[in-house]
Amino acid sequence: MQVDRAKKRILLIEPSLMVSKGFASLLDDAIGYQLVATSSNVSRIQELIVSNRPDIVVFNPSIMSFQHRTSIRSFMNIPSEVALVALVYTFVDEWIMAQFDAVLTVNDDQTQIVNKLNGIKVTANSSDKAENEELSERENEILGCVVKGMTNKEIAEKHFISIHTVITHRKNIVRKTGIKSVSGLTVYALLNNLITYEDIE
Amino acid sequence: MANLTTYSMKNYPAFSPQMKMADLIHVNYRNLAVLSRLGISLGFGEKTVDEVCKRHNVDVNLLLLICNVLLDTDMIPAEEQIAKCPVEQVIRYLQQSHQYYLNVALPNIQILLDRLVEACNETHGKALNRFFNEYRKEVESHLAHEDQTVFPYIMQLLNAPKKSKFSIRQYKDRHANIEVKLTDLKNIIIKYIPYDNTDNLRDELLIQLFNFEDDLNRHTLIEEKLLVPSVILIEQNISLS
Repeated sequence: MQVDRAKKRILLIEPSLMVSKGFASLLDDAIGYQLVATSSNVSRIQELIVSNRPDIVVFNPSIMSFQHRTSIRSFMNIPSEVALVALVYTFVDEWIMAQFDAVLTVNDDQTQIVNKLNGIKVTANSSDKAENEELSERENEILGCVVKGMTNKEIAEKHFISIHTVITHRKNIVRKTGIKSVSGLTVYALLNNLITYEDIE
Repeated sequence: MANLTTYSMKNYPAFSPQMKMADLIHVNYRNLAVLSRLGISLGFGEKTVDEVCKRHNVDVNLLLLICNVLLDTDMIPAEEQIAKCPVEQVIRYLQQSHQYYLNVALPNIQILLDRLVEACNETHGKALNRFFNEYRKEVESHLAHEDQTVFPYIMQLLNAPKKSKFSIRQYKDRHANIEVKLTDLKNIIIKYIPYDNTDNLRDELLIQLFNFEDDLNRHTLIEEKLLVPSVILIEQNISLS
């Protein structure tokens, strides 16, 4: 599909082929929006978000069962800068609807759809956020301690910070690097000269 | 990913007993692995799925069920489909997958990794090697647990049904997570090994890691959607009688 940088990118998760084709054709000549990918189920949503970098995910809530009552956004790990929009054609509980930034229905025409999408409040721009994903100096120091086997308490005492702060640093390290295991982080630390091989032998 | 309690709208059978076996592979090449793991070899000419299955004593419903789960990862098989599953054939399928991981996939990855280690600076190579060995051991012990404890328990259940302290639900709980380190390894290779003219080699290794991950994920789906529910049914029957 052709990429137009000025247009907001939409990812559609909709089980019905008829509805998703209809939605695609309504969006086709809509100003300011373009459909970048569609899927009939949620199993590949992570992959689709990473590869298509949508600004908006339009999602039919009926394809999820809500027995756990968890937040849709956190359950499917949708980044906070991506807007979440519902596409509904039956009655859906209000507590579910409250989780969406906007609600589209199958009866909406093109103007209504565009108006609703325009009404979404932008929290952060996804392209601005990618900066500064390198580990900070402090995070590198903490990481060095982690891979040398120090406990959170020891790290906190050494750096005069609270255990809570240590945990926040550790979460950010994992988020930025995409490495969760301590042994994986050890390799990272070695490759970045934060420790020497002798430190871990 | 397998925890998603979703259901699919696709209720039509994507594969049927009357289609040509060759088409089954053209529709989804991942089915190649299903055939070989169920003991069906290539060269079946124009024969249908049903004919080939009969010839190899493979339950055609099971074959189609596995193919459907692999194609539509959200699919949840109906209870009557699960009840009809020949559990020993499911186990054979899973065991053959394990053999493939141990004898083909992991050794192939190891060869490429060794070449990358060779090309890296010494410390980096040592660290990478050490990490991969740790990961490989984890996978091997996970597979060994299933081969030596879980599968024999189920076979015992099939041959001489009696109550036991072990239950398949425990296995469900202790289903170890071997995905984390694989993701870590991919990130290390993609992001953090410094530029060193090993791009082609890295690509090749990464493709194998992605394929391996994909195969493991789908393997887990078969365990969770077919094996565990069908053993739960058997356990329930035993405790009722």
